[in-house]
Amino acid sequence: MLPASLLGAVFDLSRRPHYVHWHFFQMSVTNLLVIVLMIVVFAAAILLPFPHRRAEP
Amino acid sequence: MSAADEPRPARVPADARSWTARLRTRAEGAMPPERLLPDRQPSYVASWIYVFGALTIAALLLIVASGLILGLKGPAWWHVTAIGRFFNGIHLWGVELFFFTMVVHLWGKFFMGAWRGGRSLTWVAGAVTFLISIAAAFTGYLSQQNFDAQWISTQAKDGLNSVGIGAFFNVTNFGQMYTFHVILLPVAVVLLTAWHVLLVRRHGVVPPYVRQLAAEAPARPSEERA
Repeated sequence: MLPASLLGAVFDLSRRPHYVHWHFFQMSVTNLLVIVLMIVVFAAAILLPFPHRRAEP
Repeated sequence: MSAADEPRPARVPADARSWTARLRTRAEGAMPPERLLPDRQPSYVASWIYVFGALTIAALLLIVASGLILGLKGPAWWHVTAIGRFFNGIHLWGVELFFFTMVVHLWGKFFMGAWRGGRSLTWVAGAVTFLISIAAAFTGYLSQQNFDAQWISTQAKDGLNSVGIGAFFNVTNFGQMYTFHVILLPVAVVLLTAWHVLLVRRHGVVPPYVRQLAAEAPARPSEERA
């Protein structure tokens, strides 16, 4: 079996999507995960040290 | 300063009445060719947050390249063949990457106040590019030629009609939306991105607030007295 097929079996994209619903707020779990991931990447981009070039002699 | 001491333009136009010569002189004065590609950057650019603009451009190149292939081969190819579905997937994930990196870039520049120091036009060019990109992605959804596209177009039709612009954009018309998606909006996004990058090259990357405050500190009257 191809790895892509394995992934497809784990994340079944054919079923109905899950939604987070709280008062007026409604969003699919997939979209919410992408937004959370963007916030995590944004924080990491600020906090993680950038590799510096070695000082030239 | 005498007239002889004044800086001269990079190239004196052969004929000042020629609009092409005037345009060339003005373009060379605004952005000399030797400054187009950078070979060094300020030290404060050494942070991961400054990488996301370049990542967005990389994603845009991926979208344009895969989109060209999809456009040349057509809907039957991208729906039926395995290689067509592969390129369809590349195009979709390129767009996901494009918006992901562009939003992180936008957040970074917002919290930096990247419009400071005469850079307001750079900020506006980026913001307009972001808005047009949303329209480009939306027309991409409508151009899929599947049930998803039909559902989105009928929902969007009601939305656009409700705000009074349905007469200008018939989202259920595949030909019209496809032209928007593969010609008009991509050209607008690419040209605006090029202008955005040229403005960044011209005005430089915005310094952090700390540096600006440090640069302004000696001008304080209390320190001048000391």
